[in-house]
Amino acid sequence: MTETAVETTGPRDDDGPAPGAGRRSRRDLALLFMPGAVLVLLLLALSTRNPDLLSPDSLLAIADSAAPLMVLAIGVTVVILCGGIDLSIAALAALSSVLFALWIPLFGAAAAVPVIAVAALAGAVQGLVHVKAKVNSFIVTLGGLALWSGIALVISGARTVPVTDVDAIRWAFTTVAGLPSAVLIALGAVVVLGAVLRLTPAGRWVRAVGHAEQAARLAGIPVGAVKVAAFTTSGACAGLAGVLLVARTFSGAPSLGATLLLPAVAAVVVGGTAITGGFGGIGRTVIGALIVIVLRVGLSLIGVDAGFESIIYGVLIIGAVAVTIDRTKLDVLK
Amino acid sequence: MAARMNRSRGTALIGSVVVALALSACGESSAEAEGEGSGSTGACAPEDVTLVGQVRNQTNPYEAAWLEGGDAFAESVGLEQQKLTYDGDSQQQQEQIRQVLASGDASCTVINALPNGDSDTTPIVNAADGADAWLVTQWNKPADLDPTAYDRWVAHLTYDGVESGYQIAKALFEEMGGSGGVIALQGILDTAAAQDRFLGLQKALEEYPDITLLDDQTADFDRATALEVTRTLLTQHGEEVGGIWAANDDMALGAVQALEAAGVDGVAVAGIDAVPEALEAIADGSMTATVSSDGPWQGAVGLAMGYCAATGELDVASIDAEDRAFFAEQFLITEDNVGEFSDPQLDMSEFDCDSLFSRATGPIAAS
Repeated sequence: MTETAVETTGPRDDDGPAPGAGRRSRRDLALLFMPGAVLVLLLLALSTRNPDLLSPDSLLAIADSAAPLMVLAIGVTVVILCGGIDLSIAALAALSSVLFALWIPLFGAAAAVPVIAVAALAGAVQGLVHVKAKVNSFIVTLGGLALWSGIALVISGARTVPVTDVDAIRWAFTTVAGLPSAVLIALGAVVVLGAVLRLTPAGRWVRAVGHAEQAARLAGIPVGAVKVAAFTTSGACAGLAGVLLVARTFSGAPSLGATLLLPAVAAVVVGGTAITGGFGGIGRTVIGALIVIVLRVGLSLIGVDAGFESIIYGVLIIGAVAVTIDRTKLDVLK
Repeated sequence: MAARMNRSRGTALIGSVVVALALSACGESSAEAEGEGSGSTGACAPEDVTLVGQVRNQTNPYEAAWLEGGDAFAESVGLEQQKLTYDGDSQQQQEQIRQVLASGDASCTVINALPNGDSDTTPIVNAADGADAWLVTQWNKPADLDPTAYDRWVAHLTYDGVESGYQIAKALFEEMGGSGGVIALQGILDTAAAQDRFLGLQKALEEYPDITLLDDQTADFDRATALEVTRTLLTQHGEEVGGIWAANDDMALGAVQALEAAGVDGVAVAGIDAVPEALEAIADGSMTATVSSDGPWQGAVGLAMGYCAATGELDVASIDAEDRAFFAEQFLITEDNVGEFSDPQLDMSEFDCDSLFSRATGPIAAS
């Protein structure tokens, strides 16, 4: 009985959140193909100014640069699908980078495991506070942002922690069969998370919660558990992103990756996941992360000053949200 | 079922993008140039060299001047400088470096970079070394990272903060007639720049026994903070204050504002960095001295070193070990010579392959 209820209330993978007329399906189609088309157009446009951008090495370098952002963004995608937001991801990645750098002398490469576990735990705590104390996820994770950055500052002594044992981090920043290992790790995370969301009820539950929480609760979905799991996933992804960042900078730092929050959220919404929840998926975020990195790297390669980049992010985010937002949920605009 | 179909649509989308990317890549793969090998001398034809200058942003006048210097050098050898800015974002700096190295012939690429922080130098050096590119770094480097351990990291250059702090202190004390009280505005205390510059002040104080340091406070290299701190210290020490030593120009300018607000005349102020506003202040007499690292020279000399190495005119292995990581000459600017620095001109003869290290004042002391 609960199953059928979910089927009718819960939106499906890439469907529009509300059943609608033919106009809706055209919008769906646009949402489905637009991110990919934007990515291709962007690459082609940038390559007219810098043809080397499309060389295989250069494309691999773009994918490599995108790896930490991609991992960060697929995690927060799950939270956004639930209808929440996780603003702590970049700070948590920075904290993870410090922990990883500090623990390498103790555990070697295996330090990645406890780091990701701690980050997942941190995510779970935020999820629990959000669910149990009924605090808005925006507020909880904004507090988390300050908290995790603060802890990272304290345990690192406000300094960069260099990694001297380079062998312990090489696995995350090398090439395997011509492909950057970070890309393989990121794609591995995408595949695992994608499989969980597709092959288990988790994906349906997450979208149902994001689409209509009350309906999901009535349908017997463990809403609280789903949300905590989403925040845990986001935390674990931030932990993995932190590890990947350490591998490429040979150090952990309380400021490392702190600048990735805006790009990560941009990757999610530019990929076409609705900030209102319920609609989207991590496949979209993969495309979104590539778009953001192509912008980050490509614009500077053709000589655009970095200062203009925030302007482009801002326009991009507002534009993407305006296109993807689910207006049926907005009774009141604040 | 509907869900399943949608899933496969999504997969197809990703698949088609990948194919599109691969197809567009194929057209360009033949353009990839062959490498020029490794080793400490290059064999690149001058026209094949790619010159890359990377700083934080172009809105900061000092860094904009750096890039202009790079442009001037590039023009003098018939090339164009690729200008990269990362807006203080370490991740983005690394991404840009890797992207530059992946597109085009890295073994004929010259990078003149301003690493965002000490720790950012390590990945930049590793990326450049892995791609056999020519690299010059400036300002920031971990103490234990040594260019002599690398074939193509031509040099690292920076400025002796003790010397900067000392020079402006002496100019300040001379202006005060060799006696009186000074207050010091320190930078962010846990930075090497702030610590070194303050050491320079203390060194000068030892030479001028009639000068007393009334107080030292940190103002975080920040103008607004310096304004507040100076206001407080002026109230506290009143007419005893004859001079204000600031660890950078921004704080010095904040102190000038505080003096004007308090209606105090005759207090000498000195800073470091030679920002345009400070030069104006020196010209109109409201500031006494500042120190310049000569941004345009920095932008040009890094590219020149890499260019000479890449074209084989300079064998990196033969460079004096003391010149691989060196302090460069800095210039005290006072009322007497401020005119020369308001519109700095590059002397292109400084970038001949045999005079690149003429401004080296000594090796960076290992700390």
